[in-house]
Amino acid sequence: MKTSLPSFSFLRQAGDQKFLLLAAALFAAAFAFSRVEAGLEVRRDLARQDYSTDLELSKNGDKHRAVYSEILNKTPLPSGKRLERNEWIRTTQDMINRHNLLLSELAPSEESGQEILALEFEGTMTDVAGFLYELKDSAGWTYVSNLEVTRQDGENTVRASVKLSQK
Amino acid sequence: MNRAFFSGLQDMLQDLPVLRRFAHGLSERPRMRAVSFFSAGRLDVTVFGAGDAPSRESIPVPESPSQEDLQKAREKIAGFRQEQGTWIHVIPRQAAFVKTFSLEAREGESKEAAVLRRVREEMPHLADEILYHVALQENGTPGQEALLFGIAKATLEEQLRRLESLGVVPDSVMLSTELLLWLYQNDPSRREEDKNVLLVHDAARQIEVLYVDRGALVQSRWFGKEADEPAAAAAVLQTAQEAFQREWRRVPEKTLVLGNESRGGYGGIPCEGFGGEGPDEAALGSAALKAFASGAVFDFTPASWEDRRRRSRTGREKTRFAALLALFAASWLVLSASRAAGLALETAWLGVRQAPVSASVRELKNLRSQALKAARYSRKKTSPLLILAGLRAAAPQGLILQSLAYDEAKAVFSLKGEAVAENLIQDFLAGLQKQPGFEKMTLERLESSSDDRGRIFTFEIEGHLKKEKP
Repeated sequence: MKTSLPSFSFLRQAGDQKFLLLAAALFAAAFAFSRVEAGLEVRRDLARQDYSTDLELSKNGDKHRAVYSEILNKTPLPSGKRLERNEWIRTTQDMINRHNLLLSELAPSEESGQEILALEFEGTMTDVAGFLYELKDSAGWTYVSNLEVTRQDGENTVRASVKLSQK
Repeated sequence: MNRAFFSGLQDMLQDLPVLRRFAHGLSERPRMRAVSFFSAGRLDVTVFGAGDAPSRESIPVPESPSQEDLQKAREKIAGFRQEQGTWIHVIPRQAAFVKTFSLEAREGESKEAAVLRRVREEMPHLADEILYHVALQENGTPGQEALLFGIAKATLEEQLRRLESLGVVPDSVMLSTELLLWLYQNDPSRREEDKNVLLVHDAARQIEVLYVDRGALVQSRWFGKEADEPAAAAAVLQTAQEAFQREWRRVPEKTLVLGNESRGGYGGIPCEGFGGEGPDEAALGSAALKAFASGAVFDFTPASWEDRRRRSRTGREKTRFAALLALFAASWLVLSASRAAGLALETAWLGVRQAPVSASVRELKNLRSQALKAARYSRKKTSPLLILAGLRAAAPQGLILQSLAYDEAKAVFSLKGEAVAENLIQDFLAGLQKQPGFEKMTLERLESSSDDRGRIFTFEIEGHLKKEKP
């Protein structure tokens, strides 16, 4: 009687591995296609939006031209170039001084690839509002990207943390 | 899963054998099943497909096979085993022990103990050498009768090893005698009062005969056959009938042959078919599958082989799971690829349609782009003041704001403050909701506490600036 004939379970194991390898390859390809699909969907949506905008502009061009001209007349694009860092700091310091705010920190840095100015100062709420008004009315590109104003206990002043950006 | 869908998928994948196997695995169609038995150096396998007529494979497996013999046999089995789900191995009568004996329990002796004692009395030297089980039957006389079915352990091990060497670990091992008896006892055409019936199983090189009286097995024998010809079978059957008459002093009243093929060649011996359609091997295989499904016939697989069987089943399940996984991935791939192609086509088509329109409005689009940029910048610059103005307009007397935080990128702001009455906070929230530039104002937190000023309510509100329309 033969007692040591080889077991051929490895044939079945090879079958599992073959299917698993095939499944892994198909999953990888399907995942890649799903990423491509997501990108194409965004592009298709943009193309649709662009096409519908073009259609609308071609149908009602005069009406839209009047609206756009009015917007540009009322709120013109900021003029000139964006300020270099040193000039930006100096201009900001002057603005703070003009509104009697007590500057405690001014730190240029980068956030998400764009340069910002982080400020901390104290003053009355009226002076802080005045500072914000001047920023709004200035012709430059600077605007407030983050603002945090906290009332100080027992005093009539507030402490403000402001991040300025030009992008 | 939708049966029609997978049926359609199968048709679609007719020319892709690997993927067709995945689809086959997923559908609810029964899988291939096989019933085998060794016979004179060959493994006879009856393969049952999905609704098709069973096919017969006879694979030469010599007692001492060479590597070449084994390889050939394995390849032949692998050819029809790929889609097979269940494998039942039947041990023929010549390799088995079948005995009937009376069972009288002694005083104070349990039935199990009586059976064990009687087995040792009937087979004093063999009880430890065979794997057996005992059933009880009524034979029309007072007292019970024990019916023992057994297979020599060595024979069983050898057959299982030979099967394993061919890549097969059966799901069940049955004894042909027990299977035939079960098939007859469960035959709807059988009558309880049928006496002295001969059941005949005409296998290729042997004939197995069961003597049955009113459904109870009296005796079981097998006879070798000179040739696989009707004349040889008739001669054997004649011998069997005479042996029965001589030994039991009874005349067989009926002879039933397994299967329903014509038995006209039995040399004038009248006989009927039983046990279903088709030739012997198909009827036996079909009976084995039914018995396996119902669990009615004893499985002689030794305990030492249970683990190997479990591994074999696990292996098959793993293959099936891997195939399902691959089919799922393939479906996902086809879906993603077709959607991506659809999106690319639609984008290209939009580009084609847009080209003439776009050329005519290019200057206006530049103006629009500048206007939008200007509006966006204006909004960025005015947003902090818009918030301050809104807060001033909405804040009632008796409410003090402690802090304000604003994030331009998210167009969101949050407020913290305190009030001397809860309704002031509700008024403040209502006032904020009315501001034209604000939306989604929510009260995030409200707490009350008491100090030397009396009861104070602190709150936290979050709101959003309305998004600009392009």
